[in-house]
Amino acid sequence: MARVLVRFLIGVVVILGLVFGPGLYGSATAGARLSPALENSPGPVNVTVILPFKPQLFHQQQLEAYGVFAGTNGNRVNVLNVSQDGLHAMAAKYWVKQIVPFKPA
Amino acid sequence: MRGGELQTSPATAAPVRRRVGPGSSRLLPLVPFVGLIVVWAVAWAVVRPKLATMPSIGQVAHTTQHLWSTGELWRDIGASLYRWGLGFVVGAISGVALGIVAGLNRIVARMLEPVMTFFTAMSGIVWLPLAIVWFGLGTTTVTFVIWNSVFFLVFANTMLGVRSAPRLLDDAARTLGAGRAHIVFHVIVPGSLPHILTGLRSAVGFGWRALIAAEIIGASTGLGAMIYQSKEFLRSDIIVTGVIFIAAIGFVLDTFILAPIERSTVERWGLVSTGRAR
Repeated sequence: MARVLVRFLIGVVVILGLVFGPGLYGSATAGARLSPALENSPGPVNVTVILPFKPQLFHQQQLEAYGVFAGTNGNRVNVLNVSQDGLHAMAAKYWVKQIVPFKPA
Repeated sequence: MRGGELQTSPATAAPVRRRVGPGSSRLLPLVPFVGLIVVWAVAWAVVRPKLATMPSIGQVAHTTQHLWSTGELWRDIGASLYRWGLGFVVGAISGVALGIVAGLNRIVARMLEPVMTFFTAMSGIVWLPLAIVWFGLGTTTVTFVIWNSVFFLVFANTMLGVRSAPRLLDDAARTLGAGRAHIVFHVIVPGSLPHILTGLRSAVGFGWRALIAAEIIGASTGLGAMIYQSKEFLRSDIIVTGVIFIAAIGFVLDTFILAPIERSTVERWGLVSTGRAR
């Protein structure tokens, strides 16, 4: 009976881990991705999201949900008018490397 | 006998049976998988096909790591599991509930059996073109197709299970003064559990396969959509990655979730024989 229970728990952990694991990991490590200059900033801010890879359409669509998409430059995606909640939500995405203040060229 | 030793003559000695130890027997199911990987590696090393035809194990591993690190694989796995879970739960609950209700009435059961068999024989995927017209592309269409695959199978098995519950138990419970509701929940439903669980286990596989097929045409996210979109770019490494995850998730759902439930309920209660080799 114990072996059957262990098997069942392994299955549940694997499925739940696949579905929720990366999100939980992203949330737990979100603080490390947000630049100190953006912490507690008043009002919406303009940011550059740095990814460890070239962004695809999927990443642009994900980040667009938090502000105004303002183009890409290599591994960097510029997003304007992002609220504090949006900043934390973007930082919670495990595939984001870092979020820094936007500096126009 | 000498010195307490038991001696047997060679003619009467029992043949020595080599037994597979418990540790070795647990590893036996891995042997075919290891064999497949070896065949794949050797075949690829000999033939050296193009990426469009067949990727190497290393390419698949690299692609899996890349797709996971970019979040795309997680998105597609999450979308597929969400749709499957929704369709399966709704299909299972509605199938079991309506199956019990229909099975309790002999006339209704006889009336519905042929039409249920008719619809069970129909794969849920045949509803896809109509579902796209009704619901458009996306989660609703895919979930409807899964519900279709699950509901009729579970309904038919549940109805059969209710009809097959031993009448002797029903009569015995009535003799002891049990009411109708008590008989249904404490006699008929437990008695039909083997059929219900068989239906649910089959529905897991049918629903998962219907999901993948539905996502190929009816959705833009999910493992099925990932595979279909990759063919446009001749990315067989992404296709194989998707196929491996589809098979692995289906395997986990059946072997590590449904099978333990079956083993700890109907098998433990002696309602079905395990038929396992000694």
